Amino acid sequence: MSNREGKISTQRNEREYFNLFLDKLYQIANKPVKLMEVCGTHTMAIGKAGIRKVLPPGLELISGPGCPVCVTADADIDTFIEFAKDRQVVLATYGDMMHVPGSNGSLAELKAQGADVRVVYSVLDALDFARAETNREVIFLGVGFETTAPSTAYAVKIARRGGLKNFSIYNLHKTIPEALRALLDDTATKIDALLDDTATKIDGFILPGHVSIIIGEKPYNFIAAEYGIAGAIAGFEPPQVMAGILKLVRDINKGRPTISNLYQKVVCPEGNIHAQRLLDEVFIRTDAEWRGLGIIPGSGFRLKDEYKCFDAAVKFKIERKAVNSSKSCRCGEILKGLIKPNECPLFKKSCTPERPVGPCMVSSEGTCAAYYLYSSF
Amino acid sequence: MCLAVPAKVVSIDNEFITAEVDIMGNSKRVGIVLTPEVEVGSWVMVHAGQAISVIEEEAARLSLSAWEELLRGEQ
Repeated sequence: MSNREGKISTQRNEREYFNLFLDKLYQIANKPVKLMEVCGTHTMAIGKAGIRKVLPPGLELISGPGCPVCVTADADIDTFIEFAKDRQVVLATYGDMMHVPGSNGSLAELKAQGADVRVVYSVLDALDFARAETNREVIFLGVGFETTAPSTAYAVKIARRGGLKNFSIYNLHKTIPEALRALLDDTATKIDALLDDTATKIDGFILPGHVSIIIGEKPYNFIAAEYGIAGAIAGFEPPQVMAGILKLVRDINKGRPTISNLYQKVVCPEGNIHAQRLLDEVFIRTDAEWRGLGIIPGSGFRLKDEYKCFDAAVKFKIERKAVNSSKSCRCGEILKGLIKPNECPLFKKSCTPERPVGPCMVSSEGTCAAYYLYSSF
Repeated sequence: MCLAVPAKVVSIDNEFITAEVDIMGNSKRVGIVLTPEVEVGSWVMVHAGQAISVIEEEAARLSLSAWEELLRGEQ
Protein backbone atom coordinates (compact mmCIF):
# COMPACT_ATOMS: atom_id res chain seq x y z
CA MET A 1 0.00 0.00 0.00
CA SER A 2 1.41 3.40 -0.84
CA ASN A 3 0.52 6.91 0.14
CA ARG A 4 1.99 10.40 -0.38
CA GLU A 5 5.48 10.38 -1.92
CA GLY A 6 5.04 6.71 -2.64
CA LYS A 7 5.75 5.82 0.97
CA ILE A 8 5.23 2.18 1.68
CA SER A 9 3.36 1.32 4.82
CA THR A 10 5.52 -0.77 7.12
CA GLN A 11 5.54 -1.58 10.76
CA ARG A 12 8.00 1.20 11.53
CA ASN A 13 7.23 4.88 11.10
CA GLU A 14 9.72 7.59 10.23
CA ARG A 15 10.25 8.70 13.81
CA GLU A 16 11.11 5.14 14.80
CA TYR A 17 13.61 4.87 11.98
CA PHE A 18 15.18 8.18 13.04
CA ASN A 19 15.60 6.97 16.61
CA LEU A 20 16.91 3.56 15.57
CA PHE A 21 19.51 5.13 13.26
CA LEU A 22 20.54 7.50 16.04
CA ASP A 23 20.89 4.61 18.53
CA LYS A 24 23.11 2.74 16.07
CA LEU A 25 25.16 5.85 15.54
CA TYR A 26 25.84 6.13 19.28
CA GLN A 27 26.91 2.48 19.29
CA ILE A 28 29.45 2.86 16.50
CA ALA A 29 30.74 6.45 16.82
CA ASN A 30 34.20 5.97 18.29
CA LYS A 31 36.34 8.85 17.00
CA PRO A 32 36.02 12.46 15.85
CA VAL A 33 34.40 12.63 12.41
CA LYS A 34 33.66 15.66 10.26
CA LEU A 35 30.91 15.31 7.67
CA MET A 36 29.98 18.04 5.24
CA GLU A 37 26.40 18.46 4.11
CA VAL A 38 26.99 19.84 0.64
CA CYS A 39 23.50 21.09 -0.09
CA GLY A 40 21.85 24.20 1.37
CA THR A 41 18.51 22.40 1.48
CA HIS A 42 20.19 19.80 3.72
CA THR A 43 21.58 22.59 5.91
CA MET A 44 18.06 23.91 6.45
CA ALA A 45 16.58 20.44 6.99
CA ILE A 46 19.30 19.57 9.54
CA GLY A 47 18.78 22.87 11.36
CA LYS A 48 15.00 22.54 11.39
CA ALA A 49 15.11 18.98 12.74
CA GLY A 50 17.75 19.89 15.34
CA ILE A 51 19.98 17.04 14.15
CA ARG A 52 23.27 18.68 15.20
CA LYS A 53 22.08 18.82 18.78
CA VAL A 54 21.42 15.10 19.09
CA LEU A 55 24.55 13.68 17.43
CA PRO A 56 27.18 11.80 19.47
CA PRO A 57 30.06 13.97 20.76
CA GLY A 58 32.87 14.28 18.21
CA LEU A 59 30.56 13.88 15.23
CA GLU A 60 30.44 17.23 13.53
CA LEU A 61 28.37 18.41 10.58
CA ILE A 62 29.79 21.30 8.61
CA SER A 63 27.94 23.14 5.86
CA GLY A 64 29.27 23.25 2.33
CA PRO A 65 29.01 25.28 -0.87
CA GLY A 66 25.62 23.99 -2.04
CA CYS A 67 23.64 27.22 -1.98
CA PRO A 68 23.52 28.71 -5.49
CA VAL A 69 22.76 32.23 -4.30
CA CYS A 70 25.63 32.11 -1.80
CA VAL A 71 28.26 31.01 -4.31
CA THR A 72 27.33 33.65 -6.90
CA ALA A 73 30.35 35.89 -7.39
CA ASP A 74 30.15 39.62 -6.68
CA ALA A 75 31.03 40.39 -10.30
CA ASP A 76 27.98 38.42 -11.47
CA ILE A 77 25.69 40.10 -8.96
CA ASP A 78 26.80 43.53 -10.18
CA THR A 79 26.33 42.43 -13.80
CA PHE A 80 22.73 41.29 -13.45
CA ILE A 81 21.89 44.40 -11.45
CA GLU A 82 23.18 46.42 -14.43
CA PHE A 83 20.78 44.50 -16.71
CA ALA A 84 17.83 45.48 -14.55
CA LYS A 85 18.68 49.18 -14.81
CA ASP A 86 17.71 49.16 -18.49
CA ARG A 87 14.08 50.34 -18.63
CA GLN A 88 13.49 48.18 -21.69
CA VAL A 89 14.30 45.08 -19.67
CA VAL A 90 12.09 42.76 -17.64
CA LEU A 91 14.43 40.83 -15.32
CA ALA A 92 12.88 37.54 -14.24
CA THR A 93 14.44 35.73 -11.31
CA TYR A 94 13.84 33.15 -8.61
CA GLY A 95 12.96 34.96 -5.39
CA ASP A 96 16.20 34.09 -3.61
CA MET A 97 18.19 36.54 -5.71
CA MET A 98 16.09 39.62 -4.95
CA HIS A 99 17.89 40.73 -1.80
CA VAL A 100 21.46 39.75 -2.64
CA PRO A 101 23.53 42.89 -2.12
CA GLY A 102 25.79 43.98 -4.96
CA SER A 103 28.32 46.79 -4.83
CA ASN A 104 25.49 49.29 -5.25
CA GLY A 105 22.26 47.84 -3.94
CA SER A 106 20.09 44.83 -4.70
CA LEU A 107 17.41 43.89 -7.22
CA ALA A 108 14.77 44.56 -4.56
CA GLU A 109 16.04 48.12 -4.16
CA LEU A 110 16.10 48.63 -7.91
CA LYS A 111 12.55 47.36 -8.15
CA ALA A 112 11.48 49.87 -5.50
CA GLN A 113 12.98 52.54 -7.75
CA GLY A 114 10.87 51.41 -10.69
CA ALA A 115 12.91 48.71 -12.42
CA ASP A 116 10.84 45.84 -13.80
CA VAL A 117 12.14 42.90 -11.75
CA ARG A 118 9.75 39.97 -11.47
CA VAL A 119 9.97 36.91 -9.25
CA VAL A 120 9.09 33.69 -11.05
CA TYR A 121 8.51 30.16 -9.86
CA SER A 122 9.64 28.65 -13.15
CA VAL A 123 11.67 29.79 -16.16
CA LEU A 124 8.57 29.02 -18.23
CA ASP A 125 6.87 32.02 -16.57
CA ALA A 126 9.65 34.19 -18.01
CA LEU A 127 9.01 32.72 -21.45
CA ASP A 128 5.34 33.68 -21.09
CA PHE A 129 6.35 37.29 -20.34
CA ALA A 130 8.43 37.36 -23.52
CA ARG A 131 5.57 36.00 -25.62
CA ALA A 132 3.06 38.46 -24.13
CA GLU A 133 5.25 41.59 -24.17
CA THR A 134 7.08 41.52 -27.46
CA ASN A 135 8.19 45.16 -27.11
CA ARG A 136 10.19 44.33 -23.96
CA GLU A 137 13.42 42.36 -23.47
CA VAL A 138 12.97 39.56 -20.96
CA ILE A 139 16.16 38.36 -19.24
CA PHE A 140 16.00 35.29 -17.02
CA LEU A 141 18.61 34.80 -14.30
CA GLY A 142 19.73 31.21 -14.68
CA VAL A 143 20.78 30.40 -11.13
CA GLY A 144 21.03 26.97 -9.56
CA PHE A 145 22.85 23.66 -9.78
CA GLU A 146 22.17 20.62 -11.95
CA THR A 147 18.65 20.37 -10.49
CA THR A 148 17.64 23.69 -12.02
CA ALA A 149 19.85 23.96 -15.11
CA PRO A 150 17.82 21.52 -17.32
CA SER A 151 14.71 23.71 -17.03
CA THR A 152 16.70 26.70 -18.27
CA ALA A 153 18.09 24.62 -21.13
CA TYR A 154 14.56 23.58 -22.06
CA ALA A 155 13.33 27.19 -22.02
CA VAL A 156 16.13 28.26 -24.37
CA LYS A 157 15.32 25.38 -26.69
CA ILE A 158 11.64 26.34 -26.75
CA ALA A 159 12.52 30.02 -27.31
CA ARG A 160 14.65 29.08 -30.32
CA ARG A 161 12.00 26.79 -31.73
CA GLY A 162 9.35 29.51 -31.32
CA GLY A 163 11.58 32.24 -32.80
CA LEU A 164 11.37 34.36 -29.63
CA LYS A 165 13.72 37.28 -30.21
CA ASN A 166 13.15 39.13 -26.92
CA PHE A 167 14.16 36.38 -24.51
CA SER A 168 17.63 35.72 -23.11
CA ILE A 169 19.31 34.26 -20.06
CA TYR A 170 22.20 35.28 -17.84
CA ASN A 171 23.72 31.93 -17.16
CA LEU A 172 25.03 31.38 -13.64
CA HIS A 173 24.26 27.66 -13.39
CA LYS A 174 26.96 25.63 -11.69
CA THR A 175 27.85 21.99 -11.10
CA ILE A 176 28.43 20.28 -7.76
CA PRO A 177 31.02 17.50 -8.39
CA GLU A 178 33.58 19.98 -9.74
CA ALA A 179 33.09 22.16 -6.66
CA LEU A 180 33.68 19.16 -4.39
CA ARG A 181 36.93 18.40 -6.21
CA ALA A 182 38.02 22.03 -5.83
CA LEU A 183 37.15 21.93 -2.15
CA LEU A 184 39.09 18.70 -1.59
CA ASP A 185 42.11 20.04 -3.51
CA ASP A 186 41.99 23.30 -1.58
CA THR A 187 41.96 21.51 1.77
CA ALA A 188 44.63 18.99 0.70
CA THR A 189 46.93 21.76 -0.48
CA LYS A 190 46.65 23.59 2.82
CA ILE A 191 47.25 20.47 4.89
CA ASP A 192 50.17 19.31 2.71
CA ALA A 193 51.88 22.66 2.77
CA LEU A 194 51.21 23.04 6.49
CA LEU A 195 50.17 26.54 5.65
CA ASP A 196 47.05 26.19 7.63
CA ASP A 197 46.86 23.52 10.26
CA THR A 198 43.28 24.48 10.97
CA ALA A 199 42.23 23.43 7.46
CA THR A 200 39.16 21.30 7.80
CA LYS A 201 39.74 17.68 6.91
CA ILE A 202 36.43 16.36 5.65
CA ASP A 203 35.85 12.67 6.37
CA GLY A 204 32.65 12.28 4.37
CA PHE A 205 30.04 14.07 2.30
CA ILE A 206 26.26 14.01 2.67
CA LEU A 207 25.59 14.36 -1.05
CA PRO A 208 22.73 16.45 -2.45
CA GLY A 209 19.63 14.37 -3.14
CA HIS A 210 17.98 16.47 -5.80
CA VAL A 211 21.14 17.31 -7.76
CA SER A 212 21.66 13.55 -7.79
CA ILE A 213 18.24 12.98 -9.36
CA ILE A 214 19.71 14.65 -12.45
CA ILE A 215 23.34 13.49 -12.44
CA GLY A 216 23.01 10.04 -10.81
CA GLU A 217 25.73 8.34 -8.77
CA LYS A 218 28.71 8.08 -11.11
CA PRO A 219 29.94 11.72 -11.10
CA TYR A 220 30.76 11.35 -7.40
CA ASN A 221 32.89 8.22 -7.72
CA PHE A 222 36.15 10.17 -7.81
CA ILE A 223 35.56 11.29 -4.22
CA ALA A 224 36.06 7.75 -2.94
CA ALA A 225 38.38 6.51 -5.69
CA GLU A 226 40.81 9.44 -5.82
CA TYR A 227 40.50 11.08 -2.41
CA GLY A 228 39.53 8.10 -0.24
CA ILE A 229 36.53 9.93 1.17
CA ALA A 230 33.04 8.52 1.69
CA GLY A 231 29.86 9.98 0.22
CA ALA A 232 26.18 9.20 0.72
CA ILE A 233 23.34 10.53 -1.42
CA ALA A 234 20.57 11.33 1.03
CA GLY A 235 17.04 12.68 1.08
CA PHE A 236 15.85 15.61 3.16
CA GLU A 237 13.51 14.14 5.78
CA PRO A 238 15.12 13.65 9.22
CA PRO A 239 15.37 9.82 9.00
CA GLN A 240 16.78 10.10 5.46
CA VAL A 241 19.51 12.46 6.66
CA MET A 242 20.21 10.24 9.66
CA ALA A 243 20.48 7.15 7.42
CA GLY A 244 23.11 9.00 5.38
CA ILE A 245 25.08 9.95 8.49
CA LEU A 246 24.98 6.39 9.84
CA LYS A 247 26.15 4.94 6.52
CA LEU A 248 29.02 7.44 6.30
CA VAL A 249 30.25 6.79 9.85
CA ARG A 250 30.07 3.04 9.27
CA ASP A 251 32.10 3.36 6.03
CA ILE A 252 34.63 5.63 7.72
CA ASN A 253 35.04 3.21 10.65
CA LYS A 254 35.63 0.34 8.25
CA GLY A 255 38.22 2.37 6.36
CA ARG A 256 36.39 1.52 3.13
CA PRO A 257 35.04 4.75 1.69
CA THR A 258 32.30 4.25 -0.90
CA ILE A 259 29.69 6.35 -2.63
CA SER A 260 26.28 5.07 -1.61
CA ASN A 261 22.76 5.99 -2.62
CA LEU A 262 20.29 6.14 0.24
CA TYR A 263 17.72 8.10 -1.77
CA GLN A 264 16.88 5.36 -4.25
CA LYS A 265 13.24 6.34 -4.03
CA VAL A 266 13.92 9.15 -6.50
CA VAL A 267 17.61 8.86 -7.46
CA CYS A 268 18.45 6.16 -9.97
CA PRO A 269 22.11 5.23 -10.57
CA GLU A 270 22.31 6.77 -14.04
CA GLY A 271 20.37 9.94 -13.11
CA ASN A 272 17.78 11.60 -15.35
CA ILE A 273 18.89 10.87 -18.91
CA HIS A 274 16.38 13.30 -20.47
CA ALA A 275 17.75 16.13 -18.36
CA GLN A 276 21.35 15.22 -19.15
CA ARG A 277 20.58 15.17 -22.89
CA LEU A 278 18.95 18.60 -22.69
CA LEU A 279 21.99 20.00 -20.90
CA ASP A 280 24.31 18.52 -23.55
CA GLU A 281 22.13 19.79 -26.38
CA VAL A 282 22.01 23.43 -25.25
CA PHE A 283 25.09 24.02 -23.10
CA ILE A 284 28.79 23.32 -23.09
CA ARG A 285 30.87 23.21 -19.94
CA THR A 286 32.93 26.22 -19.04
CA ASP A 287 34.92 27.53 -16.09
CA ALA A 288 32.91 29.43 -13.52
CA GLU A 289 33.71 31.74 -10.65
CA TRP A 290 32.41 30.75 -7.21
CA ARG A 291 32.41 32.93 -4.14
CA GLY A 292 35.07 31.61 -1.78
CA LEU A 293 36.29 28.90 -4.13
CA GLY A 294 37.45 31.08 -7.02
CA ILE A 295 37.39 29.91 -10.63
CA ILE A 296 36.62 26.19 -10.85
CA PRO A 297 37.41 24.48 -14.16
CA GLY A 298 34.39 23.00 -15.94
CA SER A 299 31.95 23.95 -13.20
CA GLY A 300 29.72 26.22 -15.27
CA PHE A 301 27.57 26.09 -18.40
CA ARG A 302 27.78 28.27 -21.51
CA LEU A 303 25.22 28.34 -24.31
CA LYS A 304 26.36 26.56 -27.46
CA ASP A 305 27.02 28.75 -30.52
CA GLU A 306 23.65 27.99 -32.11
CA TYR A 307 21.94 29.34 -28.96
CA LYS A 308 24.27 32.31 -28.46
CA CYS A 309 21.58 34.86 -29.39
CA PHE A 310 19.85 33.89 -26.13
CA ASP A 311 22.88 34.81 -24.03
CA ALA A 312 22.13 38.11 -22.26
CA ALA A 313 25.85 38.72 -21.72
CA VAL A 314 26.41 38.63 -25.49
CA LYS A 315 23.20 40.42 -26.43
CA PHE A 316 23.54 43.37 -24.05
CA LYS A 317 27.33 43.65 -24.06
CA ILE A 318 27.51 44.51 -20.38
CA GLU A 319 31.07 44.16 -19.21
CA ARG A 320 31.54 41.84 -16.24
CA LYS A 321 33.88 43.75 -13.97
CA ALA A 322 35.99 42.20 -11.24
CA VAL A 323 34.94 43.39 -7.80
CA ASN A 324 37.36 44.11 -4.98
CA SER A 325 35.10 43.62 -2.05
CA SER A 326 36.21 45.42 1.07
CA LYS A 327 33.40 43.91 3.12
CA SER A 328 34.53 42.05 6.19
CA CYS A 329 31.91 39.41 5.39
CA ARG A 330 33.44 35.91 5.68
CA CYS A 331 30.96 34.11 3.44
CA GLY A 332 33.78 32.64 1.36
CA GLU A 333 35.32 30.79 4.30
CA ILE A 334 31.91 29.66 5.53
CA LEU A 335 31.17 28.13 2.10
CA LYS A 336 34.36 26.06 2.36
CA GLY A 337 33.46 24.88 5.84
CA LEU A 338 36.53 26.61 7.31
CA ILE A 339 34.60 28.65 9.84
CA LYS A 340 31.13 28.64 11.37
CA PRO A 341 28.86 31.67 10.95
CA ASN A 342 29.28 32.71 14.58
CA GLU A 343 33.01 33.14 13.94
CA CYS A 344 32.24 36.00 11.55
CA PRO A 345 32.33 39.38 13.34
CA LEU A 346 29.27 40.57 11.45
CA PHE A 347 27.01 37.59 12.25
CA LYS A 348 23.85 38.62 14.15
CA LYS A 349 25.31 42.11 14.57
CA SER A 350 25.43 44.13 11.37
CA CYS A 351 24.41 41.08 9.29
CA THR A 352 20.90 39.72 9.83
CA PRO A 353 18.25 38.27 7.49
CA GLU A 354 16.53 41.70 7.49
CA ARG A 355 19.76 43.52 6.55
CA PRO A 356 22.10 40.90 5.10
CA VAL A 357 25.68 41.87 4.30
CA GLY A 358 26.59 38.68 2.46
CA PRO A 359 24.62 36.19 0.38
CA CYS A 360 24.97 33.39 2.96
CA MET A 361 22.56 35.40 5.10
CA VAL A 362 20.25 36.30 2.19
CA SER A 363 19.28 32.96 0.81
CA SER A 364 16.71 31.02 2.80
CA GLU A 365 19.09 28.08 2.60
CA GLY A 366 22.31 29.97 3.20
CA THR A 367 24.45 28.68 6.06
CA CYS A 368 24.31 31.98 7.96
CA ALA A 369 20.54 32.24 7.54
CA ALA A 370 20.15 28.66 8.80
CA TYR A 371 22.38 29.32 11.82
CA TYR A 372 20.50 32.54 12.51
CA LEU A 373 17.11 30.86 12.34
CA TYR A 374 18.08 27.78 14.30
CA SER A 375 20.46 29.60 16.59
CA SER A 376 20.89 26.86 19.13
CA PHE A 377 22.88 24.90 16.49
CA MET B 1 17.02 26.29 -4.12
CA CYS B 2 17.20 22.57 -4.79
CA LEU B 3 13.95 22.05 -2.95
CA ALA B 4 11.62 19.56 -4.63
CA VAL B 5 8.15 18.55 -3.54
CA PRO B 6 6.15 15.39 -4.21
CA ALA B 7 3.04 15.75 -6.38
CA LYS B 8 0.47 13.44 -7.92
CA VAL B 9 -0.28 13.66 -11.64
CA VAL B 10 -3.96 14.42 -12.29
CA SER B 11 -3.96 14.92 -16.07
CA ILE B 12 -1.47 15.14 -18.92
CA ASP B 13 -1.33 17.59 -21.83
CA ASN B 14 0.83 15.98 -24.52
CA GLU B 15 0.74 19.02 -26.82
CA PHE B 16 2.43 21.34 -24.33
CA ILE B 17 4.32 18.55 -22.50
CA THR B 18 2.80 19.56 -19.20
CA ALA B 19 0.75 17.91 -16.50
CA GLU B 20 -1.73 19.12 -13.95
CA VAL B 21 -0.52 17.90 -10.58
CA ASP B 22 -1.84 17.92 -7.05
CA ILE B 23 0.68 19.26 -4.54
CA MET B 24 -0.71 18.79 -1.05
CA GLY B 25 -4.19 19.74 -2.22
CA ASN B 26 -3.11 22.55 -4.56
CA SER B 27 -3.51 22.22 -8.30
CA LYS B 28 -0.49 23.25 -10.38
CA ARG B 29 0.61 22.90 -14.01
CA VAL B 30 4.16 21.62 -14.35
CA GLY B 31 6.44 20.61 -17.21
CA ILE B 32 7.04 16.91 -17.85
CA VAL B 33 9.75 17.17 -20.49
CA LEU B 34 12.23 15.57 -18.07
CA THR B 35 9.83 12.76 -17.13
CA PRO B 36 8.01 11.78 -20.36
CA GLU B 37 7.17 8.40 -18.84
CA VAL B 38 4.66 9.82 -16.34
CA GLU B 39 1.09 8.60 -16.32
CA VAL B 40 -2.05 9.86 -14.64
CA GLY B 41 -1.76 8.73 -11.03
CA SER B 42 2.08 8.78 -11.01
CA TRP B 43 3.89 10.46 -8.14
CA VAL B 44 6.61 12.89 -9.20
CA MET B 45 9.11 15.21 -7.57
CA VAL B 46 8.58 18.78 -8.76
CA HIS B 47 11.35 21.36 -8.81
CA ALA B 48 11.03 24.89 -10.25
CA GLY B 49 7.99 24.03 -12.33
CA GLN B 50 9.31 20.79 -13.80
CA ALA B 51 8.73 17.20 -12.72
CA ILE B 52 12.31 15.97 -12.38
CA SER B 53 11.76 12.41 -11.17
CA VAL B 54 9.04 9.79 -11.02
CA ILE B 55 8.69 8.09 -7.66
CA GLU B 56 8.49 4.39 -8.42
CA GLU B 57 6.79 2.25 -5.83
CA GLU B 58 9.43 -0.43 -6.36
CA ALA B 59 12.22 2.09 -5.73
CA ALA B 60 10.48 3.31 -2.59
CA ARG B 61 10.36 -0.31 -1.40
CA LEU B 62 14.09 -0.66 -2.19
CA SER B 63 14.81 2.43 -0.11
CA LEU B 64 13.05 0.88 2.86
CA SER B 65 14.89 -2.41 2.52
CA ALA B 66 18.14 -0.41 2.37
CA TRP B 67 17.14 1.17 5.70
CA GLU B 68 16.50 -2.23 7.23
CA GLU B 69 19.89 -3.45 5.99
CA LEU B 70 21.51 -0.35 7.44
CA LEU B 71 19.98 -1.14 10.82
CA ARG B 72 21.19 -4.72 10.64
CA GLY B 73 24.68 -3.46 9.82
CA GLU B 74 24.69 -5.07 6.38
CA GLN B 75 25.39 -1.81 4.58
